[in-house]
Amino acid sequence: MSASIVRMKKEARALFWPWFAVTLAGALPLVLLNSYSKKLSLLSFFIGVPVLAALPLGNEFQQKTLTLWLTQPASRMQLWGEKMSVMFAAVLSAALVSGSGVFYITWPRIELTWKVAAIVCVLVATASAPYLTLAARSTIGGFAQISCYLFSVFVLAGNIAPHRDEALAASLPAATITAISVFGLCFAVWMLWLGARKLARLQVTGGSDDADLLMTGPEVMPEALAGWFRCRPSGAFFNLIRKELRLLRPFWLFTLLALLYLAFAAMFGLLQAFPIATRQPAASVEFAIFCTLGSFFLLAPVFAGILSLGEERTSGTQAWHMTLPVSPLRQWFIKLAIAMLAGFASSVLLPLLVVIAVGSVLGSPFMFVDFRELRDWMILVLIMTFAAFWCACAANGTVRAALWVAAAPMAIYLASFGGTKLGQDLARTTGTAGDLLLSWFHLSPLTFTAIADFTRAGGLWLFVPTLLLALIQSYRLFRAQPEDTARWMLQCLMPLFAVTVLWSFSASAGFVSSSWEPFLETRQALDKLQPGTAKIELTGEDLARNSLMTAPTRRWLRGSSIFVTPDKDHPSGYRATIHLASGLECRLIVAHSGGTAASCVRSSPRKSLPGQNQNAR
Amino acid sequence: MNSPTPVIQIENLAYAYGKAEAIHDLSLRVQPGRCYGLFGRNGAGKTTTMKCLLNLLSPQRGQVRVFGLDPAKAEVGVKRRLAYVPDQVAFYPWMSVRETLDYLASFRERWNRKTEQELLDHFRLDPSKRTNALSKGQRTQLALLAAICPEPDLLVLDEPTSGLDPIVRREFVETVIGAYQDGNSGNRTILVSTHLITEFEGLIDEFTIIDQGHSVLALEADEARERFQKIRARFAPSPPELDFPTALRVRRNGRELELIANGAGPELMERLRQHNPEALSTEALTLEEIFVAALKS
Repeated sequence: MSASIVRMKKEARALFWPWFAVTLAGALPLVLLNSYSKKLSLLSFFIGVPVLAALPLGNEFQQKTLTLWLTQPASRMQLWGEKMSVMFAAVLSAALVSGSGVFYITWPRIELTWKVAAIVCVLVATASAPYLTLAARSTIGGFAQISCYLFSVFVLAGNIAPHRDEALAASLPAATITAISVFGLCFAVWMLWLGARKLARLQVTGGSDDADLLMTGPEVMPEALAGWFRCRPSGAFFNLIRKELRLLRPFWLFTLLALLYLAFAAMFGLLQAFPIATRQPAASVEFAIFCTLGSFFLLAPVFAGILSLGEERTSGTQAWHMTLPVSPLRQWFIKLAIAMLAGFASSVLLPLLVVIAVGSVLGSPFMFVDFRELRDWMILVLIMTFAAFWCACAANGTVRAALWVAAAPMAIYLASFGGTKLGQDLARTTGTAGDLLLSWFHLSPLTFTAIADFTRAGGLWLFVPTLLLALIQSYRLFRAQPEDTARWMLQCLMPLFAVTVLWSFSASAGFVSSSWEPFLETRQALDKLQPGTAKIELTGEDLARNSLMTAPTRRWLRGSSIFVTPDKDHPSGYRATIHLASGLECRLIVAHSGGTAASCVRSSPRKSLPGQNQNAR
Repeated sequence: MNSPTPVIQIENLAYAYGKAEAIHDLSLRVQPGRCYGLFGRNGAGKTTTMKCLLNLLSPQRGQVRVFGLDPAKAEVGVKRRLAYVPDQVAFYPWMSVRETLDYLASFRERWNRKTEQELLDHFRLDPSKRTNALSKGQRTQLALLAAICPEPDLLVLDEPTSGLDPIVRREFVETVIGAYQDGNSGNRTILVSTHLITEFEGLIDEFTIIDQGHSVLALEADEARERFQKIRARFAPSPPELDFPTALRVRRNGRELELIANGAGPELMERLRQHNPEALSTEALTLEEIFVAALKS
């Protein structure tokens, strides 16, 4: 086997798992159609594919193998050619799959010329990735530049399209799409040439390879403030906080830029509301701003969660910290707290203050604030930050953690979906555990109503045990020395996956998926007796014998006595009192219009007051 | 009289990375004030042993005690009394040398500013220079400096001299380490792992040679020098064809015969003397020669 083939195999092996993740995310809408998978396919196509293009060179910086690679007995151009061949094979196949997901499932009505424009946009970003990665000397740096690049394209697209919805459905003028395609292709070729030239002239200076991301960007902090962030000879606790804040420096710079951009958009009436993702504007420029700000405020928590620990792991300072006389628990807690605060500040608190400030200038402080969505947005930001932090604890380095940030929550989501589905299927055949409990012990069917209503109101509780376990696990992983393998990550994910499946299944089969309607079934059985005309007295067994009741309802009524009296005020209505075997008394009021009210009270010698312990249904 | 609590006590330690066994049934004991060498080839298990001592890895079998404490249970208490220099030194790139030292000093109860200044001058390190601008050797110097200034009871050094130029390397061993131990003689202990044994020859009191996770040889340095001897005999005609089963190595070079003895020196000398050699001499092996002989045998 020639040396060239060996090197190309090495490239392919390094790209395999990221390629697999991007392709899987892109293909997801083809097999599982929901809003989450649609968003993932968009991320896969517009972000994942360019990142894939940045990885082959980024990995050399990340793994400090650049010198080794460049000293191989081959010309730099040959090495470049090998890397680009593998990269383009991976990128094109991934783009083909995720493009199919985007254009046929996520955006099925998009017009052909817009598809071409989107492909050109991704092609240009992909072709630029090697040059930008070489210029930034890191994957993350390259990715940040690609993001800026995509952002410009969004703004440009926003300016081209006068009205978004109509524009996406109508074709672009032939001259425009031809110009975009020709320009895009020329630009892509030029960027590739620039990349090759950059590699040919690259100087391996031998400085700290890991310093690039943490040292990039201008020094914008005034000296007085910078002095506060400088570590002191005493005060270990504050020094750890200072260090954490400094590790997030690139993140703060991005946040600053995003906030300026947000203020600008709000000032010139281009912002609809904050949280940004709540309303999608129709107009083109506002849509472009919506996309870019939305992307930033969604990615910022991820960045906040992974950057600090990811960079420490990459540089080796984290293992060294573990040998210092500071409790690892304290180190972990400070890191987590700062990450959560940074995510919250960048995506909730600071943007909120900015839009309130701009609103105050314009006369109405809260004109941009959408309070209805704020709570959900805060929860989303906190969960995303924590998920990113968990990935940083489990993975070895920033890039690996970033790659897992999309995959890990997706796995948990799938686990929850699968568990719930299994629970539903079981509940459909046997009834839920709650149904069995109520029917066996002849309890009030309204017992779990409040819990069921709560669980249906928000799905977050489905992840509470997973989050608790992830919190404990993150500390354990923080202390561990992670391996650079997908198997290790899967091992870390497995307990969370299992707990999510079990919890979702238990909740679903326990009481959430209950479709048992004992009052409805009783009422339907009583209706057949035409109870609006005379008083009826019968047992539960009598009623069950003459109607098609489900097994739990028959069981529930076993040993009960039922008294039915016509409603004097409403001719076709009636009232039924069911004395259950447990001693519980359930009342059923059926109105002439067909409406039913039900309540259950414990039978007692004292007569209960009207309305006491009553639940309407 | 009871012997003092060992600074390090390892008993039947075992650790494996997946199926690859890194350490197997390793036992050693380091008394206070000693300089203990952990010698072995690359991948022998030296770093893994040190990581178990520092609670960076949890032993899969066996027991580890540092200052009589379990590092997993009394983690901070143990780390407060030791300093570690890893084989791969890393610092925060934005921090200057000064800030790095201040940062590390903040975690310590003691920090000798005088020693710090002396070593900064000695290594010619510019305190205002950022750590990302330091060379690999300078970074190692900074790590050594940061480990010595808190005056710990135990100094754990993992390949401390890699990346240092020969002059600094010699100065480091003779001046820095020597001065560190002289500071509180009898109480300051060093555990050093290295394969550059020659530099530590004069400092090592006791050592263990590890090979593929197994302890091959554990001895006091002086005892080792007594046991391992190089015997040279020159004969007028060619050396007699003799069999030396108790010798570790036998080499014939013209009229000369060279034997490496492991404890059987007097017996071998006596046998050689019976053949009337022209010259017969013996000399103690250096630790590096003992290391090579132990691994080759």
